[in-house]
Amino acid sequence: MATNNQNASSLRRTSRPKKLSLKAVESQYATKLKTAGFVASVSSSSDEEFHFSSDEDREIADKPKLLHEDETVKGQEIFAFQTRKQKDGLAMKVQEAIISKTPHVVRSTIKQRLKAVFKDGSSGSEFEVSSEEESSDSDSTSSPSEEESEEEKPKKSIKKLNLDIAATSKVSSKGRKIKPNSKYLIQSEEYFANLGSSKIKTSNNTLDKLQTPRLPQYELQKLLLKKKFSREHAKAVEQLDHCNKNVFKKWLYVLRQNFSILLYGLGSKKHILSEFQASYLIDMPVIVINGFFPTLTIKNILDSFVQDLLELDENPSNVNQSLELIIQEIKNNIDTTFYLLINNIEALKSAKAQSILATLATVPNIHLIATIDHINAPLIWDNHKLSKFNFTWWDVTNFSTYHHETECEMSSMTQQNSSLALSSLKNIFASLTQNSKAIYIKLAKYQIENSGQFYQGMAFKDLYMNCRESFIVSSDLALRAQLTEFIDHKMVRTKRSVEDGTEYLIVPFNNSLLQKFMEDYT
Amino acid sequence: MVDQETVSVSKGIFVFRNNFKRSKKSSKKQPSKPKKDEFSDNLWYLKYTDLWEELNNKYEKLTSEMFTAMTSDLLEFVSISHRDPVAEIPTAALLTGINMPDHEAQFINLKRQIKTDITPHVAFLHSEDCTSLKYLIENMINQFIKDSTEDDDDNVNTNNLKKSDLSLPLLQSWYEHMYPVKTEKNLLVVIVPDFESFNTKVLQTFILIISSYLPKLPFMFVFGIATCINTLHTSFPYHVTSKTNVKVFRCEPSTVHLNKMLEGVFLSPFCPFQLGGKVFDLFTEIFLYYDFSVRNFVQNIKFAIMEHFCYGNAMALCQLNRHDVKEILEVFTHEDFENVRHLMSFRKFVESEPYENQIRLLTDDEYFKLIVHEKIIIIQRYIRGFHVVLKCLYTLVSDLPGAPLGKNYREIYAYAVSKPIAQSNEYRECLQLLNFQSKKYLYDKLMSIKNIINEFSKKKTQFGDFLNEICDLIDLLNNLDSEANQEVEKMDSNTGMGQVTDRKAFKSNLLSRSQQKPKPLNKYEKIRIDVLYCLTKHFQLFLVEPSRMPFYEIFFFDDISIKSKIIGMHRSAIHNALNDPNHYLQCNCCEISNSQTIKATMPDICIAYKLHLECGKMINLYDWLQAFLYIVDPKESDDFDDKSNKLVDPELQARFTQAVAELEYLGFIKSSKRKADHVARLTWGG
Repeated sequence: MATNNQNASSLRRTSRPKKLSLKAVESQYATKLKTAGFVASVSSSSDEEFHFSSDEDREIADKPKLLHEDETVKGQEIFAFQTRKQKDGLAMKVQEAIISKTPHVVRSTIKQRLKAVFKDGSSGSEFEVSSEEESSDSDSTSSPSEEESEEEKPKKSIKKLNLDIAATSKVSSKGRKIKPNSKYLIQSEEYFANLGSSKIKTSNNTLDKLQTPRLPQYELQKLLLKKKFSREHAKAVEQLDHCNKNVFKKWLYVLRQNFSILLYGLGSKKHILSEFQASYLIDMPVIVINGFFPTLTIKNILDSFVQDLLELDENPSNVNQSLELIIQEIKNNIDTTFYLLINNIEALKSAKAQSILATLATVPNIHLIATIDHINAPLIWDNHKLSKFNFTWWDVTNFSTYHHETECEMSSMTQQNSSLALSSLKNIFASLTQNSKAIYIKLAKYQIENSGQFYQGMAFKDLYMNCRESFIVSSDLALRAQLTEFIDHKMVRTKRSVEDGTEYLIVPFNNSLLQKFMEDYT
Repeated sequence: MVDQETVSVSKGIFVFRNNFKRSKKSSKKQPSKPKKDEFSDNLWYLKYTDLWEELNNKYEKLTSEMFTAMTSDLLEFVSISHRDPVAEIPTAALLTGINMPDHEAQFINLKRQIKTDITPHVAFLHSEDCTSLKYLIENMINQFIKDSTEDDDDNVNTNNLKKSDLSLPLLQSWYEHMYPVKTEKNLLVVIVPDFESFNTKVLQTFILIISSYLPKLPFMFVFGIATCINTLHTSFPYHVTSKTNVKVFRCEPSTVHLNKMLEGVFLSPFCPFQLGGKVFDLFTEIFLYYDFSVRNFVQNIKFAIMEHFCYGNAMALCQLNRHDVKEILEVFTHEDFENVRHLMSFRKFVESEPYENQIRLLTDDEYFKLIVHEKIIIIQRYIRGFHVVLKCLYTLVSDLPGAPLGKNYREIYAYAVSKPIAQSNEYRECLQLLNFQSKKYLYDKLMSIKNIINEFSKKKTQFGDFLNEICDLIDLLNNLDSEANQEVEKMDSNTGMGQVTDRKAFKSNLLSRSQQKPKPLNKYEKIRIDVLYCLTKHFQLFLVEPSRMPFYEIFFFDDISIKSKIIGMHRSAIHNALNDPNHYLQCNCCEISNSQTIKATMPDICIAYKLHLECGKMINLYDWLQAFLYIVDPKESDDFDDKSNKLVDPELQARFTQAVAELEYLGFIKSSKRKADHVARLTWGG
């Protein structure tokens, strides 16, 4: 409103009908950006700055025609303002889903039941709603959303995939349809209403109400083995896979022209890469990298390049030097083509790692195929890296479960494997000598006593003095030998302090676990 | 199965050497024979490689010429920078623009030029190699010393210097050894292509150190700055800036570069591959809205060419030489002809033919060959005519006020390949504007059109009529000069308002005037009409849209579906798959009428996703699980009591757990410590 007023007044004053006030231009620009899905909100820049940018190329301020023309989803669908959530949103949804096919009697009992479940928690829902509204909102909420999406644009059919590369038999990809999603409108007042309350207003239910609050990882995997797609879905997924396989030959062609391939879309893409490897790269040097592996670093990748693939004698410790070495060595073997298959390239988060991978991708006889899953994955590349990678993008949505990928993550629903850690700690501990045990106990005890928010670890010197006093070790070296064993088993970590370079030793378990451990052994 | 081999809990990298043997010879420089690969049996592939190599060479030549022209004054500055003794380090700040990907070629070119023209000592410092001062100095000195020794001979022992030995005193002694007193000294040039990404502390110290060596070692810097010159001032404090003597140079904006590149290489009558309007618009938009990078533009064109040729052997006919076409047609097999018959425009063509011809076209390869040859020659002529005449049109209208058809050749091209340009409203607008132009203007334009035609067609035939008519018109305009003077005095007969006393009389006067017939055209105006009529006639003749011709697909590529390959739609693909799995699965069970609906048959992750859209910032895992269970399996928990609440089918719980883990993995939620058993949403809306 304010901008409109201002705009009107500026019209009157200057009596130049065409020229908009800066503010108005700015707000126009902001909405333009918003509709293009570039930004969620544009903060008001200072007038002076804005003036500068608005006077520049008109051509650029125009909206692109083709780029966003047939986009099926605007960015705002995912990255838009948060709307005010209906009370009992989950419950409503469930009702909606069930009601369509359950008989009336069942329906009403379910309704009752759901009410009971979601009321269980103290404050009930996200927003406190007065009781009279409560009764009516079950009916009113679902209707507007349905109306909104009623008007669907005419269905478009995608062009057939060009599969018939190099005279492979034509496989018709069945006539797929695109259904454009209905548009989502931003309600700015609701955003502020929502943001205003910092208190979390969800029910107080916890998973402890269940008999098995969390499943341990191994059991989860066992259970998931039983899970299968319905027959119809299995067929559909098979068909999708078939489609994906048909473009393998084309990938080879694209790679040969010094483009890289980036696979995206929902579903684990690991099996696609392995299949590609099995069918076309049997006799080529290949490196497969699992980006989702937790402790993977760029140094590991370069090391395996140098040591395992090229089998060079020297291996410089500096990353840049080893990169240089690799590139030179690979250029010497210009007749061989090297393949780099990276699962989840976005998991290597450091800019350095990405720029090294990008540099590797520019070498003519290194071919790169990578996959991404995280919704923000493309943000890790800037212009420069993107152009070095020279990606072509392939949608290989296949709905297969992310088994291996999620294994390594610590999910909120799986049991934290503390019991596992404790038992393995006990096992290793049992095999130690008497002296080692004593040293470890000292370290653990110190950590329990001193741990706080800024606990740095036990200084090596302190431990040494402590051990000497109790006649456990006689020399600095002996203690180090014992510590090496701990470090090898990941029972201890060392860290140098930034200020004075003192070496600190930390037991990498949380306190409760250590406490339990100590109770057993002292 | 390989799959099993590449999963492990102890490592994330798997190397398959597959009998790879490293060639021991460190540098065998023999030009390796044309690489045999799995595609080289295909005719289209061979033709593609030929074409791309030719275009790429042209492009590279053009760019290096352009860069050379651009940097000439920079080079001059470098060469005279140390002519007089200096107190500050001579520094050239080259404002390059934000199209970073293009700069690499530019700086390599600059380095080469400096090396050949001015001094053999040039060091190139990339920000990623120079994270600390130590690395920076080592890197620089290594380049100085290594380069100069390579030039002399290979076995000089300075090459064996350890990296850690490299220091400025060493450089100094090396320099003094190279150039004993009184010999002519060469400069030491340091190029920093990406100034902004450098650590400013490192650079500051570096500059201070170098400035103390300046009397002994004639250093000079070239900084490539992508944003604006202010960066230089803000990143250095006074005591550092005062050590440098900065001169600013500007590069041409990359749009200029793009236009030159397109006109010189791709949008020319000598390039058989022609971009269609839509694809071309897409590429320009990517350029204007995303990166300003000419390099990427060329890569996009390359991808389009690849896509074009991999249609099959039919595309091997994409040649501008008629003899080549003949040869290729000779080696065509039946399958190849079938490939040609699959083109969409062939269908239209067949349908327009009489019945017996249709049969022959479809079955008789020999007859078909003749027809294809004939049609292809027509297209070749068309392409030639199209570009030459379009250039004429471009010179005619590009500087009209407001430029209704666009200021750049690429804009007018994009228009002309998709629509008949001479019938368009924009063209009519141009004609109107041209109707106001002076004789001088028109004459100049006609001359330049004549020149264009002369330049392109040595063989005249095709443009014969056009050229003749233009020449006649030019003559007419010339002759006009002598006659023009007589015409003038006839004008102005009843100008002036007569005696106007009141408003009413004035009004009626004006009215009667407006009803008068327009005054007769003078001679020039008549000729002008002729000129425009003649031009329009020829524009209409030559500038038809290509899609009217049979087999035009062989030369024109306009498949907009490559967009998804060039700019991936990662987020929308995931969102679509989750919101409407039917979109990908094409199953009957999951069809939904609006995107809010949830069906029990959907994959678990979709159900979990759709439920999570209903929540705010935080999601209660327990409630989420319950909602999930009710949807997936409503009957199981019919008898509602406390027990069922606690006893969850472990299989269902596992499914839910996996779905949540996957959503977390995809970045929709993350675990949160703010409240027990809650996760935080990372996206909004829905």
